[in-house]
Amino acid sequence: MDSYGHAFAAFAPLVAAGAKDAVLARTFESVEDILAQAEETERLLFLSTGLSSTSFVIRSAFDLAAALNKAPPAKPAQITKLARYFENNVHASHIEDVHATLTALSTLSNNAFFVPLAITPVAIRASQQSPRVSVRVTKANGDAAGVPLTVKLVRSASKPVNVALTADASDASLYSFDLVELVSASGSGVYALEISASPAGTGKQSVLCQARPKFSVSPFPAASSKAVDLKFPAAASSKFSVDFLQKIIVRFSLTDAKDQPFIAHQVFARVSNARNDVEHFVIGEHNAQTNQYQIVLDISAIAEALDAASDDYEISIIVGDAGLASAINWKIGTFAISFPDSFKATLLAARKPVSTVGGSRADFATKKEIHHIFRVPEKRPPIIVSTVFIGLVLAPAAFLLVAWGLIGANVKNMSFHPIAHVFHASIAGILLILVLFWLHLSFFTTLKYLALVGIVAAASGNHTLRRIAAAREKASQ
Amino acid sequence: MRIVPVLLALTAVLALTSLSRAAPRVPGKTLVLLENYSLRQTHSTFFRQLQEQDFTLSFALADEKKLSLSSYGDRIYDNLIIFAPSAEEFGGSLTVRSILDFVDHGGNVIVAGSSSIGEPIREFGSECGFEFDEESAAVIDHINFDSKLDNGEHTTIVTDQIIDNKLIAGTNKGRVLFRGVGLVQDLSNPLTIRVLSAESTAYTYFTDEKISVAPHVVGSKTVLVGALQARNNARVLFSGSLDLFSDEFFNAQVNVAGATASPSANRDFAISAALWTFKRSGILRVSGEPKHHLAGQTTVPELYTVFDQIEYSLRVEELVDRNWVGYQGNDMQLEFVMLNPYLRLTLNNTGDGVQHASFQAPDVYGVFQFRVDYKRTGYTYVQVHNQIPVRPLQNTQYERFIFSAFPYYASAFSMMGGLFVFSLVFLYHREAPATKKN
Repeated sequence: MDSYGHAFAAFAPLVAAGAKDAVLARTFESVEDILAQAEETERLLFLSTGLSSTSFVIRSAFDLAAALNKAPPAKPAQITKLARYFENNVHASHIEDVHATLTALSTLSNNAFFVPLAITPVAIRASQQSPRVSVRVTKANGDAAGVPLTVKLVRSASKPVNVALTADASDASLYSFDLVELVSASGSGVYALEISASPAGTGKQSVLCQARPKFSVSPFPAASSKAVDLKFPAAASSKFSVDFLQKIIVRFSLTDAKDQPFIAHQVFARVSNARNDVEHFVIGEHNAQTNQYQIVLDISAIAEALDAASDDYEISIIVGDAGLASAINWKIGTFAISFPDSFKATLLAARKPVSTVGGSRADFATKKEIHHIFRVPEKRPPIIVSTVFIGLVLAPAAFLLVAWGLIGANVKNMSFHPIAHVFHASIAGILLILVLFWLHLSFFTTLKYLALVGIVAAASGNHTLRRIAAAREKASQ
Repeated sequence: MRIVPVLLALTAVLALTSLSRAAPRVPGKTLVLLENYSLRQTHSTFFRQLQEQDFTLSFALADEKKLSLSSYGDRIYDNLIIFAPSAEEFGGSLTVRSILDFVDHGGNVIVAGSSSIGEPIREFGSECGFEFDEESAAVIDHINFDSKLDNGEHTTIVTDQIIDNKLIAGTNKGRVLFRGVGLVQDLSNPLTIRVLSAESTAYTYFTDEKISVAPHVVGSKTVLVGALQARNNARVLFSGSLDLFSDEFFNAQVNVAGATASPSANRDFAISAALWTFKRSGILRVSGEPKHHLAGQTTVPELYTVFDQIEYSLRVEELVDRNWVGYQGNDMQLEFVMLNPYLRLTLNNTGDGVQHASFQAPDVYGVFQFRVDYKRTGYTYVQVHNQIPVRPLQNTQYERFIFSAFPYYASAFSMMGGLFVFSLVFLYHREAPATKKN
């Protein structure tokens, strides 16, 4: 693409010097092809090779056109889109892009063939207080267009009205007119402004103009016995108590400054509770016959959205429309809505359990700590009981000793043979080992010691008992 | 009575961190799919800021013929930006399926929509838990709209409902300009994050149609920018507005009726969200293996006994300005789990990212797991699981001298004493002479 740009740039001085050649003309005609191949969207047209390339090709094409004194073969719509593309890029931050944008806009604004105009809305909302609508009509580079304009005001349903626009005395690019006066017959709404500047061959463009009506919201008494009159924009002073079988019905009408009914795009009632972060919207219905808006808040129907939580809820009416001077967000009052526990339980039970595949949202917060509760040890008997029983179990031993004392038990037959000592010492040793087992020995060490002492006890016992038996035999003979 | 314990002494250590151990590759290779090339100029600040952060951007038209995200099963790019809301199909081998595969392999994606949304973008959104609203619907707010930039339909809206998370949205709070379509968040998908929502007076509908049915999204539940962090830590950012990233909105002043004009927060918000999506913030990793041992020791044992005092510590690092530094968070939790958690403790950050806990093993034996599952919005997931058996007390470890048992001991010892004395009396008793007389 750039090669075309270089060709145009190279040929321009040749033509200016008086060269006339079929090649020049053919090259110039290729502008049409270039534009046909360019990327084109609904609003923009540009070369796929980028901003600087588009700028260069367009600049050199217009230079060549100026040298040939012949309009470039491009449709006005294409050039308008090109201009819009460059305007889109005025926020560009690269110095190269800024240069490309500004030079291209300058070329498109200062040429003898086609000057696309940009229409920028300045004040497009008109109201009783500020009835004038103004637009800025400029060339692509921001200079005043300086051309006579034909302006038509269009509303879809009615015939277009011709408007005389007057340029501002101090700013030649600023045009304004009194919209409210002009549309007083047809009422408020959204209008389109068609501006054409035909002498420069400019296409038509349109902007949205809005008439800005003043609003009054007048509540109508509701049919029920508990109707309350509200005055916009004040909220009801007292709190209302509502239970889950009741309905809250809000009726009102919207009129513009001329008392004409007005239909707004957004008529919602917002039920909210900041504490639970609950928010629910109910849409208002318009009745064409009575010209009333009615919003029905059936508490049982919205219970699901409110989690059936009994609490104070704030209800506000939101009325918004593109044609409204300022939208309305009117808090009408506080409502204490109560749900019986049984109703809440049924409602929550009927809810589908949230799937826990892949975890739940609770995983993303700190969880409650869990501490292990250790098993409590069994209660033991009091010390006194144990002490008494120790006494009781020792009593037979004590009795034995006392009884032996009384009947005169003795060990007078004991002979002082050394092996007998070994035997009795080993019996005592066995008993001592059992005590040590209780105190700190392990089972296997105990068995080992018992085995050693047991062998000694068996051998010495055999010898001692044999000796005693022999002595008895001898004594009895 | 020392019975050699025949216990299963199998210690399986599972360190399930799906983070890569190495620092993410810098610079990040990024493919940018554009609706048309003029977006390169109209969104130049956004792209330039990414390039300044060492992202290599490869620009292509969404329907270019040779597009591909992977080559022989490997990802070619780290990140993908789709700035082609109305694309009806992508070029080359790019399909919704291949973009989902890209995410499954850890690639990050930023998708911007507008009031005209093509089928692939819509399908990709619903796969990731965000439904774009109907074709040509727009988010409308008759109260919070920008009086300078708006064309009269109140679709250039202003909101300050930015997620309270400095990782995703940065620290600079302000008002964000938005023009586009609303998203419906799939609330049953816990991985989805609402990043930017509308004010409560907003709704999404067709600007030129009377409202006959309730709009899909109304009020502060309207998601304008949503994000998804998949289980493999891949991140996807959905914006309902392409203009949100534009130079025009980056440099604009916000003019709302009744408030003073202030610079828009779009630049900080968009850049910060993009850097988060492309894994430049909110990245955690576990450094080394977690350590656990008995109090007063340093070696990792093969098993624990009930009632043991156990020390557990883990070092977690966060990627800050491309350096790994100790994680500052103080809310990590350790669970000691056998089927159910028996203990859940908040780990104590003892400095430099070392998370520490000290606890007594429960009086239940079996095969337990130390488990740290750390999920916080904005951070990558940290999952560390270590398995360890806990056995019952050994025979010698029970209490020995219980006073209540002393009657039993006393009877045993009196029997033993009796035996000894009786054996002497039995063997050596000499009958009294009186008996001999009989």
